[in-house]
Amino acid sequence: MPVLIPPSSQKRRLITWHELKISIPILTSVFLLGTLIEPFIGHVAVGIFFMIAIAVSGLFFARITIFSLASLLILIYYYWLFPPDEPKDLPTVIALFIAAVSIGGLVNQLKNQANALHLREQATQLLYTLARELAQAQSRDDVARISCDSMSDLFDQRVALAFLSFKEPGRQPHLDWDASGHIQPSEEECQDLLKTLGDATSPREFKMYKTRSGRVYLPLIGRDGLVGILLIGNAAILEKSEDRQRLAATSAHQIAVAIERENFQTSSRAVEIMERTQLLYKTLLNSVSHELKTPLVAITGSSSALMDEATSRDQNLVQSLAAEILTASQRLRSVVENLLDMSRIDSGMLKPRREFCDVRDLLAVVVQRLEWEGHPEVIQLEFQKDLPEIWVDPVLVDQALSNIVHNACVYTPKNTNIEISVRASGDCAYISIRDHGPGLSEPAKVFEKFYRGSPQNPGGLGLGLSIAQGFIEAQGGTIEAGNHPEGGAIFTVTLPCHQQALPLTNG
Amino acid sequence: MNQSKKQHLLVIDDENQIRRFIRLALAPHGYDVLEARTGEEGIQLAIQQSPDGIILDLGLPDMDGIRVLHQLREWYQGPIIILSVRDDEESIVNALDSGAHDYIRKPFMLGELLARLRLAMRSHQVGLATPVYSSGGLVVDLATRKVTLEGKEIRLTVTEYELLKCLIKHRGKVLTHNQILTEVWGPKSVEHIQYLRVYIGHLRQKLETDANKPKLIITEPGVGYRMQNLEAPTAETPEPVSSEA
Repeated sequence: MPVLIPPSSQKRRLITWHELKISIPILTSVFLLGTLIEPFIGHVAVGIFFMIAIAVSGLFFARITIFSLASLLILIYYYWLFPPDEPKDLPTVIALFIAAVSIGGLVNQLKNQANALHLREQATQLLYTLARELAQAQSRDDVARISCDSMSDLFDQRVALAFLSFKEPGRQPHLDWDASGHIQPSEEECQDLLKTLGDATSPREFKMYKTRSGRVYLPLIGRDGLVGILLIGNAAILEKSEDRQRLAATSAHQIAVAIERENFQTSSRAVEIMERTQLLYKTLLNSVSHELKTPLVAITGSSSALMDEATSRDQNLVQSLAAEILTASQRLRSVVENLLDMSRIDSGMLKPRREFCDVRDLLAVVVQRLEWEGHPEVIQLEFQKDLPEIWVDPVLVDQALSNIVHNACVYTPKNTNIEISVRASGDCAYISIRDHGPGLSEPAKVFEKFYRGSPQNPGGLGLGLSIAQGFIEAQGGTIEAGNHPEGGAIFTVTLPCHQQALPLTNG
Repeated sequence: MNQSKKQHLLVIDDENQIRRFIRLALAPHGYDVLEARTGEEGIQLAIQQSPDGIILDLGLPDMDGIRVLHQLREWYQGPIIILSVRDDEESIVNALDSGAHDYIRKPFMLGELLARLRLAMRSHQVGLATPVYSSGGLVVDLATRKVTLEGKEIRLTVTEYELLKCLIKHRGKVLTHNQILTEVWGPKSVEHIQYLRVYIGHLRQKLETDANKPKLIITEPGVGYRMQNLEAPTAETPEPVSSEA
């Protein structure tokens, strides 16, 4: 089992073995020096020299060491260096001793304070950097990388980070060790850790633990409990200083907050995607059911009316009812075909059969079909001379272009011009279709499924342009939508062509 | 239609509603329709009744429509019209190359079906009897090889003329690229679709009022070409709206 690191692991010892080891040779050398120079400067100056030595030692040793050093030196001075022929001036010696200890103590205190201040400043700087970098983190991986790097800088140790997750609520927690960590926790450590986590009544109570191999588990506790665990390579650095522990706890808190924020963002993104999917699904259902039901109503109504004896006697009425049925069936047909096309694109079942085609030929078919469908718009064609052939599936291009031109017809006032021009450059042919209607209010959105330019236009699922895009892109082309500077919408279709293909002479 | 003699048609389609519609709709136009639900049944009925024409659906439950077509074509000489769905150009081309006379896509209108049927029946009976063909402003005298457009003589190269002759011979019917290439350039040229497109371009340039909006030689995307019959030579004068670059 890991061992809990006590909040304050360092008992303030009176004197350390380390200090003792250094202070004895210093004491000896100061004494020897004092003895050597005494004949030249007199015993009073030696006393002062001893006092200065004690004061300076305040820079290096704890107060108790200074006190001991001072006591020893004073005793030596008093019994060894004080000339026997002079009367022993005890008050002066005591005053000297008090002055030495006081100055030494003050120097020591000052040094400690400066040290603490420096440490705190360094910690604040590091914490600030950590906080700033964490705030800029874009993902959980970012958080993990920044945390690992900063913590390893802060403690000069190798670290690793694990995210805590509960695969099932209320069940055993699960740890994901991030790949950006510098150390790999051992299997045994993981087992221990999970056991400790399981034993804790709530993950919030998880404390700083030291493993048997001398590493430290730092809990990352956010507002809603434990979110992760930081593993620090060596426990010694934390055991030594309470400041370090506090620093570790503060940075752990920062990291925990960042992870929590990331978790929250991830879940809110998921919710947003789900909401959008649901909205799309609802739109689809509404739109499809409306588009399917409306013509069905017309067909059912008109055909039942045709069977009515009184109605069937009126020849004009029969004709117009039949026309009604035909219109409705055509509408139904276009809905069904659109849905089939869309599902072909979405399912990835679209397999273009590419061959060399004459783009003028394809556009002629498109224009002719629109004329047959009775669109009164005037379509102007303009072709660059010596157009190369294009390498496409003619059926798909025909349909895509038909959809775009049909769209232009539907969304522009009757009897306005639609200009189609084709030019080629490099390995591509560019077909631009420009209308003189009101233009596109949201050019970026026109290729979205179920997007409809204006709701008052009759019929349509809002799939035509999505299908056009799907078909064009399936054969290596691109499609763009925008507004012409002089008004009206402009669509540009780019299709691949082969320069080796025979250019057709035009006129 | 003409005379009292009824034409016998065989419809091979698994959909009851489609067979019924064809039977009901064609009856007033002088067709007597036999119905077959499967390919097997269709072949049997064709043998027993020897109909004047066959309407064959490519999507049959028991066997591939193309196989039915092959089996029928082993002995049956009459016109066969294919019923196909959209997005199935490959089967259409396959069926046309395998001897189908024409095709019609579902859903179709009665007028379309009647036009195809009439054309198939007539061309089958008459063949290319009249040496002078006229459509719109175009007059082609196949005996003297003279081509005139709006009264003006048009000069065509040998290949252009052969192509035009081929199209006129099968006017109204859709011809696949392979069929035209085989007939005009010979069976070894089926790979050279570019030639065909170039010469179709030339013909349109010389014969169409607006080559960018052809009315005479129509492209059927993914399938082939069809020569239209423009009924009244003087009735329509299409306005040239195109601006040529």
